[in-house]
Amino acid sequence: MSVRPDVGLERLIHGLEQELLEAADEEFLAGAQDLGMNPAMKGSAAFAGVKDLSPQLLRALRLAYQLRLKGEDA
Amino acid sequence: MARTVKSYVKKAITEEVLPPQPPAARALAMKLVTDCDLLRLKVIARLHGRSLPPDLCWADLLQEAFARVLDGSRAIPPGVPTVAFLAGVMRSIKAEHWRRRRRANEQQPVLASDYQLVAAETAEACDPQPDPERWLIAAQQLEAIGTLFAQDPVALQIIAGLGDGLTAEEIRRSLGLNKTDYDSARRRMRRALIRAGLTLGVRT
Repeated sequence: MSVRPDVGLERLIHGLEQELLEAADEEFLAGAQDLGMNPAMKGSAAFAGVKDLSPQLLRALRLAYQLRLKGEDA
Repeated sequence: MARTVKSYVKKAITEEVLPPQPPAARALAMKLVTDCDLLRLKVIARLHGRSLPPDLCWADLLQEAFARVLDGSRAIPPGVPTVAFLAGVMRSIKAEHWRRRRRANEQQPVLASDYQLVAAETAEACDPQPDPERWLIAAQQLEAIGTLFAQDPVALQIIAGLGDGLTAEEIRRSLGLNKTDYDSARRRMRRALIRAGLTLGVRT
């Protein structure tokens, strides 16, 4: 690559993003099945981080709720 | 004695019985996206996650994009596919984070370093001064993407072409590939990206 790494990476990501936007739904389903995941199943690992919250966000939300409950108790 | 609602909620939060529903799941419930769209967006978010500042992960980026669409701060223009729009929102959130980080760093005292000398020589005229941290992350991630396609020399050449900003047609012509071979290489690349994007792990 003949450009700065940050510039090259952004261009590469943009190009690969276009590839993913053009890919057929079946390619994603096949990819999940290759990994032993069944997206049709409730709670499928294929949706980890998507249908559930990241541990970081969950922690932040839990803390906010706890502070709120403490405030109500006081 | 009957448990009060408040004590039940307190117990639920403490024991993680009732995790709040993330914006992506709300969008699915509202039929704004399908399950397959979510898989696609996960893979795209994971791709963008490769050039995020260290304090942010791909899942945060994805949920933030959904949250902005759901709260109305980013409206999907008529005729624009939802998935493509959300991918654009992720891109702009990422740029926003790097801008914020750069502003914070600009307030630090500047030290001349070998890095700055090299950067000044290789930077494109139209680009702002590169961020050393971003430069390092990008170099590591370019290497990681290269590893992903290490067994596929054609894919590696396509990646180099994309990084240089060439179009698909320019890459195909420069590699001297016919359309069938080129499309087959792209299919292999997509397959590797999808596999990497769907593997477990929320932070990386």
